[in-house]
Amino acid sequence: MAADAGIRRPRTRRQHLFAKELKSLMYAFGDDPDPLPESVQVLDEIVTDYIVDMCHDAARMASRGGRNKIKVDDFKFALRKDQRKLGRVEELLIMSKVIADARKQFDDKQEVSDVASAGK
Amino acid sequence: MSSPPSASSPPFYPPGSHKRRISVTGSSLPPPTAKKPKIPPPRKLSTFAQPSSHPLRQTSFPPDPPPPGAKEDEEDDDAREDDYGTSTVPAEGATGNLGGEDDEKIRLSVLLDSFDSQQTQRYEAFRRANLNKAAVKKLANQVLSQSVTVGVGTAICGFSKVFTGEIVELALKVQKEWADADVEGEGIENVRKRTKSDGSLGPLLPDHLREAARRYRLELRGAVGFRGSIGGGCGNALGAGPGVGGEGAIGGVGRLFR
Repeated sequence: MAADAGIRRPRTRRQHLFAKELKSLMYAFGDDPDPLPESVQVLDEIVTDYIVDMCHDAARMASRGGRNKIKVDDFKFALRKDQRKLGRVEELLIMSKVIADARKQFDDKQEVSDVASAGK
Repeated sequence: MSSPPSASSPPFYPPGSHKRRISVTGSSLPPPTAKKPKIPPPRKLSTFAQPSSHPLRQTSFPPDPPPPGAKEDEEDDDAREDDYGTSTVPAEGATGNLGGEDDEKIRLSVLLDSFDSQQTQRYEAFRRANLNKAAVKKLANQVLSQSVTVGVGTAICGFSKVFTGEIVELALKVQKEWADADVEGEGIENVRKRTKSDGSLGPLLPDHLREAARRYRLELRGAVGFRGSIGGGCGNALGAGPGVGGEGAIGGVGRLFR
């Protein structure tokens, strides 16, 4: 019942980019604690193709803006129809800003205390 | 698969994180504050509802001390270091969505307490697991023929994880459907149903995943690329099958900017 009928693009090599992570992810989302290796491979393939296609979409956005470099905004625009993923991307960006800011504050505090202790 | 904005929560995602993803007008979710010296005011984010206030007006305030519900996590904290963010005190420069959602944290900790051991393990895997950022960046670099920034890599990891979840959930649904339908070729499903003690249908088969991917693409034709690759046999539905199928078929990974 493979849905691969029709055009099959020539596969030069089988990638196994995400095997380890996908095993945990499959379990996390509801699969068996021990997923089948073939299923992991198929999911790897599905996800890789998805990422490739999203990159193509983002590149299209960038080229429309006359830019060569891809920015996060290109991805965000490519995701505009998909609320869930868009929200996740924005959440991640906010979190990374928060963490960077906290780190910066921590470093500033370190400097102040270093100077203070050095001055004694 | 991407549901229209609604107040009801989708199957799996914990209530806390769900609220941030789906825009609900005038919900209890406060818009992010903008009064920060270091971080420029966040742009009007599409997922955060902006009821009637100006986006730059401060609408949430520094958090109260951590709610009592956070204390319940202390025993869990000993077992595992990650308390899933229920008892963190946000940094001083934190944006509003971390500060104003204490009730969400309470609800999340209540939910986590009610989990049995298997659910806890699954939730832990859900929080920790992530696609390998380095591999994702490498893949993106190859596709785009440029070296992508860290932010782009993080973004791709993030939404790909969501995508994986959607596919797996859809595949589980397909598995259940096939088992219920008792299709001739799927007699194997019923064998598993009988033999599995905890009522689960056994591990997902590749066919479930392929069917899930096919359904996903059919449903979201407009939103997602998916040109060619899996199941180019949906050419009838797309109406431009061979052309669409051929476009993506540039060897293993296509290059854009030559």
